[in-house]
Amino acid sequence: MIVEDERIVALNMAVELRALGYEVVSVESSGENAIARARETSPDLILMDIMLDGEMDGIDTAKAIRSSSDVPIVYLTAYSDEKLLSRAKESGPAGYLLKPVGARAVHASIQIALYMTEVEKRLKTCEARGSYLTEPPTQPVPTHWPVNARDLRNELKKALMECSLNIDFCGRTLRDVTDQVTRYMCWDAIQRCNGNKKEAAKLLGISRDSLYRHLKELGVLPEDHN
Amino acid sequence: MEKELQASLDQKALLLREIHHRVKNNLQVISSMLELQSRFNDGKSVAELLRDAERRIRAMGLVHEKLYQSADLAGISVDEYLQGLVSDVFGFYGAGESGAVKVKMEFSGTSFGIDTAIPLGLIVSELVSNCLKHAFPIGRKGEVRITLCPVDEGEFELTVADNGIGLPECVDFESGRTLGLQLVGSLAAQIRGQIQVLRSSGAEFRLRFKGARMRQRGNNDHSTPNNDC
Repeated sequence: MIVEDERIVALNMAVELRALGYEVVSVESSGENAIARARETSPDLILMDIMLDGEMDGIDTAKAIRSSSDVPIVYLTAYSDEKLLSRAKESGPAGYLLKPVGARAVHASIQIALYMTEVEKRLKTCEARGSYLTEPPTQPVPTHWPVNARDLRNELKKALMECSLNIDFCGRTLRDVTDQVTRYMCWDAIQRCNGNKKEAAKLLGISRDSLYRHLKELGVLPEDHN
Repeated sequence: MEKELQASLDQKALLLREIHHRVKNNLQVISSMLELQSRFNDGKSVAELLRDAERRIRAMGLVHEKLYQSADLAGISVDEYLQGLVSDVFGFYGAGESGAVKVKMEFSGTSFGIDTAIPLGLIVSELVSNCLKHAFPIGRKGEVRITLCPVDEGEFELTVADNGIGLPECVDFESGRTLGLQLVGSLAAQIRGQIQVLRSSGAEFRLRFKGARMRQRGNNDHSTPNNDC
């Protein structure tokens, strides 16, 4: 879903996103309408401008939407002053892009936001159950990222390089973000291979030693390994 | 006295920021239109695409010209603006020179802020250029009629009609292949308008919308646009 008061800018964004394979469920220009449409359409992600038509701005709108839903929100705005950034952070956004921004950077940011949301959701579920390694994922992660970990890390690095000047991870460092993704990738691969670490390392495109190192560093070492 | 001076200075600073914001917005709209054009080129030559882009930018520029000449910064005379705009589009396509296509305009002394005037001007520019490009194949005589009048409290109706060869069966403002119609659909939504297409004799587009004077943006502090842009 796109929330943007300049309709031509929104039309262009919608056309670009559709060309990249996304479905744009709704384009809204005011916060009030965005809240209603988000409830109706349950989008996977919202791109939110800060200055909008109507009484509410994008940050108030995001807060209202996030009070009843976990939908990730990526701000897309021309404004970057500290006051605004700290208000925006309170709404728990998945990203903050400064206009003008190209379609590739928006794409990268959306992919990271969707991935991180999925990772956090799964980690939360597993943490609640007390283990990272006993619960197999019920569904594969919905992402266009390559399965191979090395390719994924390269893609991620490229994406981060491309938008690092424009993106804000809401207090997390890039290292935090990549670590979290790596941690999930390793855990996911082991689950997919029914605990067989040799196979998991093969699936990830890394050596078994590297897999152990990652697991150790990231604090998700299987119980039978010291 | 000092307080009044300070208030006046604050007001001026606010206006200046507002202008910067609008310039930036307009440039962003132009940039988006150019990007859209590169995608919806519809087999047109580069020269044609550039002419379309030029016409759209002129429609936006004319609003600022009128605003600059206006004593009232919160609104511009839409009559004058649309008259100038339509003449410009006619001149742009060399229409009217041979006298084959005539133009008739009727307006009712309305004044809008630029938040309404720019989308309205772009809509008129698209629809009139559409008439001139498609409704009158070489040699065909006819008339283009443009009217704007109030219909209800705060509501207005714009009509752009011609007595040319008529429209194709399907006119799609949302996912059509032509960029012009998609722009009209999006801009109509921006001014909370509804479009009706009639095919009585030739083509007629009616747009009912809410007109507004210039609004001050946002109660929150949006005072620092990104200076890198």
